[in-house]
Amino acid sequence: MASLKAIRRRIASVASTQKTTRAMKLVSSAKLRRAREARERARPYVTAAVEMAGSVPKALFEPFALHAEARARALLVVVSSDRGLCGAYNANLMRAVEEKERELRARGLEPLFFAVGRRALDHLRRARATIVDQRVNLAPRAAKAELARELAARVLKQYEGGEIRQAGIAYNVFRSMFSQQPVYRMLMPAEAPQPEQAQADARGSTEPYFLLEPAPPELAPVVVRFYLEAEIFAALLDAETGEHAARMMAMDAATNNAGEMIERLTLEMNRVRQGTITRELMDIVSGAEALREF
Amino acid sequence: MASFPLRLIAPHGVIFEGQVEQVTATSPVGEFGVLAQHVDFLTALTACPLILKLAGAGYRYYVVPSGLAEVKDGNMTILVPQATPAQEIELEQADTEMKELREKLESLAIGSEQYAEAERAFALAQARWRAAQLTAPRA
Repeated sequence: MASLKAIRRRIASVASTQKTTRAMKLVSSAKLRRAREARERARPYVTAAVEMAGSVPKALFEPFALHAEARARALLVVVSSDRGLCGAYNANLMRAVEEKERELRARGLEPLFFAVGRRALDHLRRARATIVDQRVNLAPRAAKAELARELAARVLKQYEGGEIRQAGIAYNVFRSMFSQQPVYRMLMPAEAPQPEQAQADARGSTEPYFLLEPAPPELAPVVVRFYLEAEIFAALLDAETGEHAARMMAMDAATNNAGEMIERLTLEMNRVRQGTITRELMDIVSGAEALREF
Repeated sequence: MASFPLRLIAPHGVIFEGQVEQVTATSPVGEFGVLAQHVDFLTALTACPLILKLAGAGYRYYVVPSGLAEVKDGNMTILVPQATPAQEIELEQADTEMKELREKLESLAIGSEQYAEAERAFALAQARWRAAQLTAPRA
């Protein structure tokens, strides 16, 4: 059995860890609130961009349909977190990315990776994947419109240049505080989004625009660029919100576990202390008995 | 004058939402204005001052680097990467910026990637200067 001193030291150590995890939970909770607000503020932009792309004549998207003559490569943007301590958030994503990689290879496409976040970069390096570019250490905010713009421009440039035949983004979608699900969203070849019936009804007429300026060959890249930027921006915001939610839950669980451990150790400490007291009492009583016998 | 609803939206949120009588902006084809009951249309925006004539009275001026504007069923929506209120732009500073960028542009080889980038920056500086002129107090 451990000594009283060792147990006390252990309790102090666990209490110190608990303080850290509690502080991290509070920090994550504040970051989560900010991320959710940013996600809400971006919603009108993302919705409008998708609706506009869904309202243009489908022919506008034709130049962005499948390029059969392009090189048999696929660009996969992987959005992870920079830091750990967020439960299975990154591990689940990487499992999904590996699965996607196998699927791409089975279809004869060589996967190229663009890592967003330190965890994705480290994992892809360990797996010896082909990393074409990276953006890491993005604190305090990873979900920035500038990054979405840069990624969209890169995807469009490589696709139009025939360097890739497909592009997509893998990230954790924020479903709730308890659920962040890895998803893969295809970016290229681009298809005009189909508005849901409720959305279409709310929007009124589904007639195509009467007037397009400039002419479709010039307008199409602008519409597709805005659409891609909005999709990527929404993905970055989702990933960021999910990361903070996952870290908050992980830190909450760690704080609770530390509390339980402190309780268990305190019980053990009391038992050991009681044992020591009893032993000492026995010694005193037997000493007194021995004296009386004299 | 009849008015119509307008939403000016950037990725960080809705910048303006309200009734306007007229919107003036610039597309790659040239400057255009939108009044109430405009036909449904979709257009790209180039770097330009965005002028909103508010319903009732008054104007609001912004500078946008690019954008996508649509009129659908009498509602107008403009998507922009960002929009700077013209009041925040100092005319003198905008003038200096524009001159510097013009010089830089003239020193670059036409057709290069740097030239295209400098051309975009110059177009934005020009739009900032025009917007600052619109809001500058008259002498």
